[in-house]
Amino acid sequence: MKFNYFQVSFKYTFLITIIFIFIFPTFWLFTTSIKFEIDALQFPPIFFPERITIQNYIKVIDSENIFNYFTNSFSISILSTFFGVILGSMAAFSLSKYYLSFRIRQGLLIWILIIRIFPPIVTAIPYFVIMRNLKLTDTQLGLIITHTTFVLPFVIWLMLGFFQDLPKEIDQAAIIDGCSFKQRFFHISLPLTLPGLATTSIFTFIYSWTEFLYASMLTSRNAKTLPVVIAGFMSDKFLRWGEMTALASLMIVPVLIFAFWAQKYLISGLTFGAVKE
Amino acid sequence: MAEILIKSVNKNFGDVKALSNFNLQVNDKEFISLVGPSGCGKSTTLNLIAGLEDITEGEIFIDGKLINQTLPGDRDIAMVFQTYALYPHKTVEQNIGFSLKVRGYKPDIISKKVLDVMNKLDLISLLKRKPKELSGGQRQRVALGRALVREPKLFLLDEPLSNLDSQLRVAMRAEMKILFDKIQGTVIYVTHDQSEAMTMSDRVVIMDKGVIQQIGKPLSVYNNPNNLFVAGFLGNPQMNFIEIIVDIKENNINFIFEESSYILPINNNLPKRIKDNIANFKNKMIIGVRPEDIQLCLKNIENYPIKGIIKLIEPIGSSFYVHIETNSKRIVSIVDTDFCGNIGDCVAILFKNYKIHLFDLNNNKNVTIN
Repeated sequence: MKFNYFQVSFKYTFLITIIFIFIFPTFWLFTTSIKFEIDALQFPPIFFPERITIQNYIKVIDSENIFNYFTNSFSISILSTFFGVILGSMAAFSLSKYYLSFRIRQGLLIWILIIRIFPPIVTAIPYFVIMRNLKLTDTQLGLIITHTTFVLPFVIWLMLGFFQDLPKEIDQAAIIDGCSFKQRFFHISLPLTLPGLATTSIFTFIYSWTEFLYASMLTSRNAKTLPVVIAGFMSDKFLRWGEMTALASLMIVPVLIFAFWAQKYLISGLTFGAVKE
Repeated sequence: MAEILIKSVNKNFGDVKALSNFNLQVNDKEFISLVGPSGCGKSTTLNLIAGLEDITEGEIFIDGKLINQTLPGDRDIAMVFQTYALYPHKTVEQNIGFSLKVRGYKPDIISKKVLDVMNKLDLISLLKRKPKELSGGQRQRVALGRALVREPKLFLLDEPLSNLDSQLRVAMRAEMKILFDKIQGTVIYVTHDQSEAMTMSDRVVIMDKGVIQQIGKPLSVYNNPNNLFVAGFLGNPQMNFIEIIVDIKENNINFIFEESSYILPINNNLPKRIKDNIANFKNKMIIGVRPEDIQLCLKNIENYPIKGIIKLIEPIGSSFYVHIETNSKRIVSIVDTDFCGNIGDCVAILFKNYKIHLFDLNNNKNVTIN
């Protein structure tokens, strides 16, 4: 085959551009966090700082209550992910079984999706009023319920595809073996959709970890999360780029650890050998 | 073991009738096969018995107990699927023992029963392997083991050999037959492979388009097919069918083909099934003769009424399939390997008179059986 220089160079240019688009914001975030304040505000901007500092990180780590905010963010994200994925998977498993008529199933699925169609701000005020009346404002539980609710449509739709892809004979074999609906879900179908669970968990965790709107609206002190703290570095009087980017860079670390941990389950061919293709 | 009674069962999928007025009694310890082409309703029947599909109309009894509303897990049946349907995340041992675990058996009883079945099926060396590490034949054995371990009342086998290669299929066929004879199980076996149905079953049920065409012992059905479908479905190569005009004389029956007339003398050699039904013969009929009931003659062919040209000779080892073209029809005959005809030779075609069947052109019914 003839080597086409034009095609190859086009491919590489395209790939490098895409990589640059994805890498640059993280690069810029990290370099700003290790710049002195004066360098961070330079114009034209300094892309590769000649002098670096970890002062911003020290300030962030030393700041009051930061550990509490981190714990809030972490526990809310982990629990929202856990409840969101479990409840969403249960709903998806039921909806994948054709017990309901086609119209009712489709109706339910579209209704579930509608929650994600309108912008979250639309329901912000009534939602706040409900949470206040339930005395759930500024509590971890309030935010866990909120995040779980918001991730459910995503989990249901994603997991539905994974459950529908499982060979139906495996489920039938479990029925004949005497499994209850619950046993079929926990012993057979759920272990076979581990890649789906891993993918869904990563996205759900990231959503909850970075969610700002409802976290800022529903929390003030006790249940404050890291995105709200980051926003606090910005006001009409000051703009603390260094600390803001340092905390944002630190926020990436748990997500990376979680994603690396979940990645080992992102394996294909989990059902290989179950049925003769 | 169990007796199964299926009474006037209908199954519809929307407007599509998958099963119409299905009636069948399966005796205790009987091995019965449902056989028919794809889409004839045999797997649907199995799913209805298993409880995997709801019955539209009718009743199913196991040992006299109506099971229409009984959950599949409570019917005391085991099923082997065409695709094996093993649990991929469980080892062979866990796959076989899972149904016992679900039913709350104690671990020591489970391992004893599992080991027993694994010994029976020669699976002991594969104990800790997962399905993806097994060959097709081994997976099939595990699927069988999963069914055997519970010692159920009824075994439902849905084309369990269809995914194996032909050599393994024949070997497994014999093994399964010996195994089920030994355990004296009641078995309903679904297959589209007539040779499996014929060799393994006590009785066969031939189905087409959701309707039972014939039920009987394998050889009885083969020799006395009810209708054109059964006659054509059983047998490989299939029965030869030729449209004829029947002219009944005092001592003879003349079968008039396009080019000649074949005379069947009405004498003591004529089988009773034909003699008794002469009154039902119509002017236009279809004659059916199995390839092994056709003899070919290469000498003095001018003395015989039906002749043809050899178009193809297929050697299959133990015999030859000879394809002969007459003026109106292609006929296949099975002959011994000492047959010395060649392609292009003209041959005379002789039917074994006592083996012929005549079918009504209107309703496809065989009029030469009692």
